[in-house]
Amino acid sequence: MSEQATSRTLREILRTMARRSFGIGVILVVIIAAVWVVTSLSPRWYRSEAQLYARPGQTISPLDRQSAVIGEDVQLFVVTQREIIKSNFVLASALMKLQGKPVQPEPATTEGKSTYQWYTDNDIADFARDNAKPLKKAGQRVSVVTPGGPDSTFTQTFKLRVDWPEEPEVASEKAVDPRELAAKRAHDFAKHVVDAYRLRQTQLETERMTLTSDFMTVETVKAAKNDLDAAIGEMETFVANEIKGDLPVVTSMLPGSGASSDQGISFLATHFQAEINKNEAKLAELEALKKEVDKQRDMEPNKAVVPDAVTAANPPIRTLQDKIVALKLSVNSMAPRYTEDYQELRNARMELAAAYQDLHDQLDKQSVRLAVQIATLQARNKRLKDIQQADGARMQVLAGKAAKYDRLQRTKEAAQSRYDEQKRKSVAADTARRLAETPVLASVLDPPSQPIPSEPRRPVLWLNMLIGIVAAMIVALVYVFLADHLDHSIKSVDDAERYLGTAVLGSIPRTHRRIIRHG
Amino acid sequence: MTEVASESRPRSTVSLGAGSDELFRGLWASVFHTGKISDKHVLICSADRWEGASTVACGLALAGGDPAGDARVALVDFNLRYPAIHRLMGLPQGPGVCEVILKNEPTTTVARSISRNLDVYTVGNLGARALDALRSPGMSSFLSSLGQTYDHVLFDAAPANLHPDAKVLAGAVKDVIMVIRTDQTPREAVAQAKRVLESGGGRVVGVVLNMRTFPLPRFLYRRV
Repeated sequence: MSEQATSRTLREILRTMARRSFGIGVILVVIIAAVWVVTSLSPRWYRSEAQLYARPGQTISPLDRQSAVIGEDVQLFVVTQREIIKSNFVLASALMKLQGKPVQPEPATTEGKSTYQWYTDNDIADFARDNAKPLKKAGQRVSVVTPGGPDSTFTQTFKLRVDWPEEPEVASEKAVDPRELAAKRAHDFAKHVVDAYRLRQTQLETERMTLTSDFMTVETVKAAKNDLDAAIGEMETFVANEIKGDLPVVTSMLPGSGASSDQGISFLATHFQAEINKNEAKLAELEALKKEVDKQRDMEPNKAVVPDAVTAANPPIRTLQDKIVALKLSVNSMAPRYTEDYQELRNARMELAAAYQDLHDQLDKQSVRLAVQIATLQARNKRLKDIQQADGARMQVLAGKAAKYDRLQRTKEAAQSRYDEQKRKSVAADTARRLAETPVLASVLDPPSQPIPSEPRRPVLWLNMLIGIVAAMIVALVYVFLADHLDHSIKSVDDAERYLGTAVLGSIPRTHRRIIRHG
Repeated sequence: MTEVASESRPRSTVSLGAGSDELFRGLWASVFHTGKISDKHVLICSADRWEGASTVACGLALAGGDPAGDARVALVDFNLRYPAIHRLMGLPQGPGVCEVILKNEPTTTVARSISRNLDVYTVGNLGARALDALRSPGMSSFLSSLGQTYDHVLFDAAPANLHPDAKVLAGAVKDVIMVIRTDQTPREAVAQAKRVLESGGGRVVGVVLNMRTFPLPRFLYRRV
């Protein structure tokens, strides 16, 4: 089924083409004949080829750059080389050389050092204006090719080709063989183009150097540089005149300097404050104790209770208390059994009274001792507070200075970054300009080749014919299917049934014999 | 009566060419032996000139009116504009159809016998306008007399796209065969002619592709 459909389609295509076979034949013959004639009649030419090597500025290191950027730069570089070679300067110079125009001014020698002279810009401009057509023709004869594409490094080897056709009229003028003349001129022109190209590069390089040294004078960069200098100067003056030896302290006080916070004056301040607080607490405790001691001292001796804190710190009081307890026990044991006049009882009572008196005295002493302690502590606290106050004043002064220092430093940093930015921009612009305009180094690897007069080049006949045949076939196919599409005549039984919707009773072939025979 | 006449005086010897004979016999068979034709009368015309309608009509008539067969066939030239059948058959132009329908001459006097089974009515000399002739009162009686005498009657008419004759005739004859010149007649022209004929009351029973070409060589044709 599908086979049948395919074969039907194929048959339809073949039939369509066969129907227009005459037209196809005409198209093929005409186009191929035209290609053949043009190729055969086209002039012979001679090719001179020179291999050149060019490298852009030293300052651009391929290692610093991203590969994509390098690729773009290399492309730009190649385009630039082509533009330089095809520029009016190079072509006009080479043409003028070829025509034997003397270099103006004449080569001059100064102090034995010969300076290479060339045509002046005015000469070139005049020549380019007067000879626009020959210049254009010469441009078409010169081509720059980079076989194998750009080199992997930031360099480029490329071939400069000059294809010079035979010029019969020039040859007959000079009465020389046109082939030899064309071969010679191809070589000479290539040589002059190479010379002019290298010269042009030297010129452009000089321009580049000027541009590079000029970049510092660019206004914005200069302004940024001035800002930076002013900021640095102000900062130095401030440090020298106002901060002096306190620089470490000031730096430690800066908001960002968290690492050095346990040194310096701020640490001392907090330390003092802690001691003061401790002393105050101790003082309060001592004062409470003294009050208690005073209260007990003022009471009757036999009723006084010594506070534990005092007892713990004072061994005499402890022994006194033990003694009082023993005496009390003995008095209490003796009192019911003996009369008041009993000597031992009386002695014991007297001893007890004396012990009470001692205790009272001891408490009195303790009170005095506490008072001394309190006074000492108070004096120390006062001193600490004085020191602290003095430090606080200095701190405030230094904090002001630190804030100013901080501000100045920020200003300096901003100026620095602005200057860096400007410098970078300026350098980038300069680099771009250099890339666009000036390769640095160009050397000739192979000098222009000398074409052989007996071996001219001509268009490759078979290649052109191949292209011509393919093109003719395409044109013929387009013609066939377009014509078939636009032709509405009924061509087959299928057509008739499709477009008319009536049965086909029969078909009568075209014949050259008579249908109706007489006699 | 006519049998005797045709046998007694054969005016000329006309026959189909060697290759064409088989071809037109086949065409005759596909026209008349497949039940497509409802009546005895068949109109053969084309959309435009030079498409070969008259030639096809002659060929069909010669194939159908085979002396060995038993069907009686008449070929009537109603192509009043570009008459060709008398030339193709090698006959004089008149007297013919025009004399019959306009001057009421008897049909027997204008019928020309080609063979035992085939009579040809040439166009005759048109003295009036063609449309008047076709609409004249003698027309219907002529057609009916033809129907009585013959088994099959073939009419040739002027191109349908150029003149209204075919349209008028189609009203009387009904069955129409269109001749199309292959590779030349645009399908739009054929469709137009078909519309014209159908608007006149006819019925296109089929088309004949004339002057057909076979661009593919035979060896290639067999392969694809």
